[in-house]
Amino acid sequence: MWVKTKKMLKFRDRLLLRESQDNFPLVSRPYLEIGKRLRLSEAEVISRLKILKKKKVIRYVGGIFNTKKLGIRSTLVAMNVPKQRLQKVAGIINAYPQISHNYLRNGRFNLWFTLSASSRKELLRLVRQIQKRTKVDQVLNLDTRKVFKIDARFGLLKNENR
Amino acid sequence: MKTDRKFILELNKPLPIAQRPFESVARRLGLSEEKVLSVLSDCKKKGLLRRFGAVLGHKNIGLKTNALVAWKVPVKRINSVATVLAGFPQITHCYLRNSYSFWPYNLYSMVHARDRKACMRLISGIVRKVRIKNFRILFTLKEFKKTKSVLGGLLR
Repeated sequence: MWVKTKKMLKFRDRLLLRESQDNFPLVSRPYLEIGKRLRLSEAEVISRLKILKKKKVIRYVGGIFNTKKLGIRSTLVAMNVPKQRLQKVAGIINAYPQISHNYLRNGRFNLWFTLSASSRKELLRLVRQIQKRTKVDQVLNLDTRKVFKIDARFGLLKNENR
Repeated sequence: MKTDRKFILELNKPLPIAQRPFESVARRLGLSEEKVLSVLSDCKKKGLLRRFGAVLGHKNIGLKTNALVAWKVPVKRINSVATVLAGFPQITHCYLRNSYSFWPYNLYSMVHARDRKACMRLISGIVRKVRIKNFRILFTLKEFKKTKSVLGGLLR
């Protein structure tokens, strides 16, 4: 999808982001390579990307592994948490390194988090432990049965479709 | 070289934006940069590595609203509906999950848009295409935690 926010991102930055997101070269000096494609120096590419990182346009540069292929199991858990207990419960949940995302959403089940473990059994143990520690009664454990899509890449140029 | 646990744990960490981003990770692993790069390419070929590159903060590129849309899809339509959902570039995630009698939604999709209005318009378009009447729109109201998955302790 193309993000139509001309003022926010200059064209040159869009090209840089696209190359860094979609065509990152696995070579010793990737930014030299990206620079060659865009007719920029390696130093220019690095300093611009560092600025974009500082502005949080880039979260990070790195690898994303297929956790399922690595034997990791995951689930999405939803809880019904009273408003006045949200901060406390969110704090308890955030402390788990196995939990990567923890979001507030509208609806009866208002707190949603993703949990990973080395087995289904361990997932269940963790959900029960969290339920006990947070003292939340209503919990939905939505085990991942099948992944149809994971692709958090975003289109940066007009007419770019993926 | 076998793609071992240590290699994956190290390469799962964000890399510095520097002239030689793989230099420090290679040193920690006691490997040459060339070796690290070839093992990484291997991981990509085997599908162990989904992708390598910049991960963008969607809010800061103008996508300020996102919603988890939970769909109740009849079992025999799951594959076709999921294929349609996955075809939308604005949908970044699509998963089949367990459901319950009191929570019958089995297909989950993450939808991104510029603002609430655009998000609602987009979801209406998706609904017309998948022809599923029973669904819930769960907007992201606050991110209490959003991190890269930590693999340490999870790999067997």
